[in-house]
Amino acid sequence: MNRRGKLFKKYDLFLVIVIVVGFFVFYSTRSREGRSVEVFVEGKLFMRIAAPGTYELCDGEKCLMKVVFDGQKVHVEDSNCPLKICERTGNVGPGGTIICVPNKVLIKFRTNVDTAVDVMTW
Amino acid sequence: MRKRDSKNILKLDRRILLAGVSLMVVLLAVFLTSFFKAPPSYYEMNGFTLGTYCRIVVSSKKSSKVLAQVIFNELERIYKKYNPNDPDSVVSKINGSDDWVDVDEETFVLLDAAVRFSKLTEGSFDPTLGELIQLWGFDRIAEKLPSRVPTLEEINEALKRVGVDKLELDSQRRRVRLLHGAKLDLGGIAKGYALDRAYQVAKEVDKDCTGFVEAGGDIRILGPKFGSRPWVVGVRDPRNAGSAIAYLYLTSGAVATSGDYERYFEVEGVRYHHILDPKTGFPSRGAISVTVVADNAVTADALSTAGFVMGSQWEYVVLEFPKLGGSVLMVTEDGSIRRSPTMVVYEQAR
Repeated sequence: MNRRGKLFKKYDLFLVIVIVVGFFVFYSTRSREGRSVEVFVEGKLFMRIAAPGTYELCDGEKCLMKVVFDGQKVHVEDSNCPLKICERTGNVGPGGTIICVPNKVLIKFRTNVDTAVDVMTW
Repeated sequence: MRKRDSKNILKLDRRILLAGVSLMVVLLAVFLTSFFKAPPSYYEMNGFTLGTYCRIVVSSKKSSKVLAQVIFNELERIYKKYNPNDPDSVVSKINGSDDWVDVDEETFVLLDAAVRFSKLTEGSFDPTLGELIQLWGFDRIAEKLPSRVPTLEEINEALKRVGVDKLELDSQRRRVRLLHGAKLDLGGIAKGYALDRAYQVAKEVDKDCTGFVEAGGDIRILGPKFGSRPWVVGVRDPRNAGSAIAYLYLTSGAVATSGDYERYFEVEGVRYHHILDPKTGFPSRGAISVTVVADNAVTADALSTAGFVMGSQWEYVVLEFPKLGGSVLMVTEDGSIRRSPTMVVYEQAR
């Protein structure tokens, strides 16, 4: 059998499969929904939360609040500010924000899925 | 010799085929990526100024980051200039004097606009509520939570120092005077003015820039999303922060909302919020949220406050405010949503 006459060698076929599979893995990873919560203090990223749990937000010895993330929603508990607007905001879903003006804290629920709403008026 | 040629041709074919497959995969990836996701060309800046949170989303042929910083600096400048709690502000200077005070052109124009909106809304918007706001304890809201309802006597006494007739403007000599101990508070218009200034400075830097500037839920559109699409603005449900009651599609102009759900305290189950009725001296009743869309942020800001104060007369607000330049979406105390007929223009995706 003359192997030199074949268009594809095993190696070529393997390479094509790797490229095609690689592309689909890359694309499916890009399009999968990624959720995380970003906490900014005075405009600077302070904490990024990816796993569900309760996270205490402390600046030095001073604890500002607890950020509770269940994977689907995020809310604030035990804020030390006088207004408690951040607590009153309640649970916020993907694309939403929680704001504490006295502590200059911004909590953003990031998602790579288009939430359709660019900005909220309130 | 012939055998060698045939081998070379096959090798060449394999290479061409592999190159072709690779190219097709790359082209497919590029096509799918660009087709399903618009390129993220907007720079976003978050910060705190104007006594609230602000967000700048901007795209410019020049540096978007620099432009965002220019916009933020302008917001900060306006805040410092008109913050009644800053002893160095223009407002503190006017409030601290019982005589004429010379002011710059910017301040005079802003105060003139405040007086005009007060007259247009029959006093529902009032820039002289400083004394009353102080009495209720809503003046330093970021530092302390009000907890006491003032007595009727205290309120009536404060009301003697409220009213746009106690603010005199002298256009000839560009000076202003407060009468009978009245105190300015430009909280119902300064944020809108700052957003309009943000728009102006942005356009001075790059007239083709697009994006929006948000300050405490009030929004000034700089230009359409990606140059042609509307920005989708959700109107917050006043009793469920996580959801929206309506969606507005804006390519230009401004939107502002006044609500009873941010700054308030409760005594014996009664909610006392920060939007005070200049006629009664108490938090106004009738509406729980008023959103106004207008060509500029000053109009949207002033009319959303006035519309909230006039909440018990919702028919008047939704029908008459469009004549003043603002389309209204109001949530009344019973939870009903009332709209200006002109609002439908903004609620349709174009």
